[in-house]
Amino acid sequence: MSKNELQFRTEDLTLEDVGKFFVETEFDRQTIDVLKSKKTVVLQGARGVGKSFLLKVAQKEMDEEFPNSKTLAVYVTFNKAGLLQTSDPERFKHWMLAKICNRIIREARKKGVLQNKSSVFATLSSGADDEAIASRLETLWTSLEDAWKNDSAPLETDSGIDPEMIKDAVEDLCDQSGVRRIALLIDEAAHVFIPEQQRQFFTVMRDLRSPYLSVKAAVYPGVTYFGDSFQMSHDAELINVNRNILEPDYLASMRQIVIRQDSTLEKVINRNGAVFDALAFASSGNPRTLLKTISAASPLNTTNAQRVMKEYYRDTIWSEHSALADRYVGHNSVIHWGIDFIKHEVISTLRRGSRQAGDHDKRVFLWIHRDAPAAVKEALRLLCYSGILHEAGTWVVATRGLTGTRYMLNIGTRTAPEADPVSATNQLRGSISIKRFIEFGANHEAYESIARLDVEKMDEVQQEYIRSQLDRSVDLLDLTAFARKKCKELGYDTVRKILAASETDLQKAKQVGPVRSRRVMNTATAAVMEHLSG
Amino acid sequence: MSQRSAENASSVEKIMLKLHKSCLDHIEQATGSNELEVNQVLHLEADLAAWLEALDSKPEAQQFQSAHRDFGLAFYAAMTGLYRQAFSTLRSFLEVTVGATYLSSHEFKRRQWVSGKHDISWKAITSTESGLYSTPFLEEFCPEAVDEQEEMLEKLKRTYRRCSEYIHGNVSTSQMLPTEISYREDITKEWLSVADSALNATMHCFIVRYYKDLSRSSKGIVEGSLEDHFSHLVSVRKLLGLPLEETRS
Repeated sequence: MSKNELQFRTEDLTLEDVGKFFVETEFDRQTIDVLKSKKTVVLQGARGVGKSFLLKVAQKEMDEEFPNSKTLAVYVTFNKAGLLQTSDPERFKHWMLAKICNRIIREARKKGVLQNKSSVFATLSSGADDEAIASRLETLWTSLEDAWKNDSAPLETDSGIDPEMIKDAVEDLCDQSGVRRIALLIDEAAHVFIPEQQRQFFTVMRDLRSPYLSVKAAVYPGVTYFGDSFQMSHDAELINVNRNILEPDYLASMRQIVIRQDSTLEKVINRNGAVFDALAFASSGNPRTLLKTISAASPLNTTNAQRVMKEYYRDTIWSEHSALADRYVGHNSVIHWGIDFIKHEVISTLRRGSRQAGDHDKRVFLWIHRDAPAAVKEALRLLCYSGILHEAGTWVVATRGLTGTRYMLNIGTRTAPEADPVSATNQLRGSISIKRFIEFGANHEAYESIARLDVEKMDEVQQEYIRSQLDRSVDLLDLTAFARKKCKELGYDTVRKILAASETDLQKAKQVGPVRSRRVMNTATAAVMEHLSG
Repeated sequence: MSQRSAENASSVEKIMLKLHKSCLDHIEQATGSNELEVNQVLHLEADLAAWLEALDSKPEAQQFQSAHRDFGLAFYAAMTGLYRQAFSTLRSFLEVTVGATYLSSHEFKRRQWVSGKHDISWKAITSTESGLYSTPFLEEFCPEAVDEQEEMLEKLKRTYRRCSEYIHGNVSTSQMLPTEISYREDITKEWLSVADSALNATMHCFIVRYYKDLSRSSKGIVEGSLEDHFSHLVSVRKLLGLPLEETRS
């Protein structure tokens, strides 16, 4: 790596670099220790908060401790998963299992616990035949590779291999080689836009758990489709990797992160402490964003920081989110609505409030009623994925005792529209309270343009994705028996018919008011929304 | 076998066996104290073997196979305490694999080299104008790697230099090398580290020269090694078809 060049992404780093750049906070230490433990863990955080980095540090430490601990760390990334265009869930499962097997085999070989079949020494020791016998894991891997690469009819891709067989093969490997257990560190474990793959993954994750194998998975916020067989609280420990900007040592550790990568910056950062702090605070706990903005604001001074904050938080962060709509066409309207909502409803309201009151509106939290339309929740979920919002509590009680979800707005997006973003950010620091938020009820007028999923208006590609969902019977929806009965009474016996109706139509049934009708509509909408982008 | 006196034979044999005994002791210490590094090198060697399998049908495959055997002997020499020989053979492994890779794009010269009419020059291989990592070469074989050429060329040259230091008997190294067969942890670790670099450098040369032209099944054979050792490089992420994020700031 060349000097004086800040690295933004863990994937650009070798394992050696990871050790060099690691700035340990108490939270990081606890997280790494849990990753190294026997527990099943789900690590959740937006892009750039450092999930991959923590996995890699855990891997490096376990590698170094291997001769004594005999715990084999295996890092796997599923970042190619979204590119696997397949409607066949079996094929995806085989791909996942093949990848896991292959990575275990390679790491076992790297540690010398699995014999290398093609060793040059066999050739050199003339005639000596010490042909290694393929382990069960290697045999499984070969079959799995054949299964997922086989593009023929889906029926033929069923190899009959399930996680149970991999568990057995791993147990064999451990018993034969003296390995105590394997810690599987899975990065980018579940694709945010493809719920079916999320369900597949969590099922595999649960099925792989054994005394010899513990699975740790890094996922983005918004991965919520765990399937029927996986219960987060029961099957895994959930760790949120968001650096809390309200912690007293937050700014100091962000400073360390930058200086560790490039020590020549220490002087200039100390000279421009307030400027650095503004950028660190604006990054809302996201090291990658901080490194990017510090790098772009070089040499660090107020003028450059103002410019970069305006560029990044008024433009880049939004265009990156908006680019998702190009990649996941089905989510186009939901993504664009989310951008409009945050920009024009949330940020504008807060700025207007400040101007009218002649004082800064210090709120950076918003609260959304739990019965807000499904499409609104989907939009917020994706904003969390991009780090524009951070979930900050579910079942939060707001005015009139109503419950909903609280989110923190990315600080940079809040202060960048001001004329002097650096000062605005520093003014905001120290006066933020998690108890003050801007509230959006179940029927806010801003939802009108998105509240209803208009199936008729969708293009053919989308229609194709969701056709099978639209014709599903109301019996298959996750509704109460009462709600199902009422839908049928009114003649809405499929998802398509419910979506074609309005909530007012649903309220024609006895004992169905605005709350019940909204929940029915949300359930039907959510069932279809899963398939928006294939 | 010619007739020789039993006395004479046994004395040579004794001397050799005594030497051999020193080597055996050395193997025990070298493999016992460097488990992590040794396994890592052998893991890379297995990946090299996978590459050679993928390149099996190339005209230069024979040179690769012979260099691969050299690597095995260099490893054996390092483990038995024949340090200078270990570095020397490692360097020849590097010269032959990288040379054959480079000359594979000049088939006429390659044949002349094999039949002894053309000498391979390290300078030509590493030339920034026309060598393996020169812009014109990369533009034809692996344009994705153009941005990383300096870094990768530097790594290759440094590995070669580190080998040479132990061969030419630079003051620094000739004083370091023991005059008898005895275990030296620092030198053993140094050799393992250079071997690690040499295998990495060799495989990277294979990537830029061959990867794009490999068949789907051959790509499958080497894919694991690309992801394992080189996925920190943007070029390799592109070759593997992994999603690339915008890194503009």
